[in-house]
Amino acid sequence: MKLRAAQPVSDGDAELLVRIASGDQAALGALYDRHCAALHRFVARATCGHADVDDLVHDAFLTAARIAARYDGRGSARPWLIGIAARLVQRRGRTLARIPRLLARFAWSRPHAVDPITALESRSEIDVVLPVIARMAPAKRIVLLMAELEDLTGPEIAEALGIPVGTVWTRLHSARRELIAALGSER
Amino acid sequence: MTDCPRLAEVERARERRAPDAALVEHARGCPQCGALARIAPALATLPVPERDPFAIPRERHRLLLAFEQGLVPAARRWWSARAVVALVGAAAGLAVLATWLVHRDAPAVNPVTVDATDARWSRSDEAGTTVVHLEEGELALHVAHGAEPHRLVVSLPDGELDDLGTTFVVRVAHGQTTAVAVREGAVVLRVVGKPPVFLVAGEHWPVAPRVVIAPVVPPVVPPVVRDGPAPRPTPVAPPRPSSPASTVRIADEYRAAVRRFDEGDLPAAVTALRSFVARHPDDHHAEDASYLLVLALQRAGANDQARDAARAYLAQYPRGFQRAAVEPIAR
Repeated sequence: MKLRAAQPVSDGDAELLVRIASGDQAALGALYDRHCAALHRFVARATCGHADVDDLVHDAFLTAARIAARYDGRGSARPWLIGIAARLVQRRGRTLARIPRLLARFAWSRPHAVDPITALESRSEIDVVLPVIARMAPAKRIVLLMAELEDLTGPEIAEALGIPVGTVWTRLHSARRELIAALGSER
Repeated sequence: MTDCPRLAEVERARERRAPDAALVEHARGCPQCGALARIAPALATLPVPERDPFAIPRERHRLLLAFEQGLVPAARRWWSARAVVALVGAAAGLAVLATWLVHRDAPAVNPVTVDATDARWSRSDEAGTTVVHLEEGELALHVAHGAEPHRLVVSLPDGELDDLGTTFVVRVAHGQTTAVAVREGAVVLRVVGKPPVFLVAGEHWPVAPRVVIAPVVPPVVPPVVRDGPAPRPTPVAPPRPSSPASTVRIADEYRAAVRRFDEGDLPAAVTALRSFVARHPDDHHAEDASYLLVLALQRAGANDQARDAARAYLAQYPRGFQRAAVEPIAR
């Protein structure tokens, strides 16, 4: 018997989740490889770069694996995973982690710039957006990121977070107004 | 900035992805509505903390381990919940009692089949779990999974083998697991002191000869012959067992080697990493050190040595985190 080389994973997300539901570890690895960067980016922004980003991403994938059998079969699982991560971020915000998070808001710093010219160009934008996002209520911040950066529609966000669509519109409108006010005063 | 009364209207139009000509014209002239288009690019500038190069494989490994460990407890929780319901419901209790009365004399059918020709082994069965203790020789095992979940664990002299729905062969010789071959399903092999190995149908696990990269040996100076009695050889202290203090010292040694690598002092990094790998092959940093050694040699232009180091890495860690990155260098 020869050692079999790792097979390339060409399954779609729906197929992977079916395999995960039956206990297939390799399928979970493939799903992680496909979406970990997007989830990490979303959670880092939604938590303002708090130190437990890796733990939240880990919990999101583990939760997804646990409820994989309930996946609705859409082509891309990214919105679904983002929804799971968003709920975990919200739940974390309701726990005692509030105090360190509050402190972390003041300490949230930019990573070392890779390209100094790019960093210089985007500096003014970051300086305006960063404090507004850090001060924003987590529920509003999550909805704003899901709509503007993850390109999810209102009904998709409502379904992912388990809230009425009207609540999504209200939060989104309020969050946008805060940001627009900041961007407007910068000009 | 005053609130534009048409802001919500423009938002709704953007959500529908159906631009209205009048609204587009309005947004062009209104600073507040026009700023809606700036939100996404502005949010995209939010910083994301950088991750070290080992973070993704490390987190992936952690996830898969947690997933694997969660499979069995999930089944247990289901059973305990069912047991509580059965005990509380009087009707269910009567049904269980009736079933027991009817089937109490029926022989239990065990789904685990063990084929042993020349092996020293024993088995114990209890409540949905079969534990096979293999002391010496080869066993072929098959689990006929039916509606009821049944767990099989093969207890080995140096670890255990956890079945995940399977037909497989396991061999032990002289108190050491020497081979595992999976024909159907999957197993997880846990050998003491080594990371767990996940094997699926068609794969096998051989005991690869331990490849240790040669340590840096100081140049041998020939003894100077003088008159008088020969000098007594300096006694060499045997390696001491690991202690918390030595663990800290090993971690410091690793950090120092990595620092040299990060600073670009490649000759010093190669020496330090090679020494670390040779001295602490079982330390949890050894795999990362082996990988960095390959990179350091490659960046230093020592391509032949980098290839040898890459081959040593692959032999030592056939399922290592950096296998994909190292394989091209080993060719």
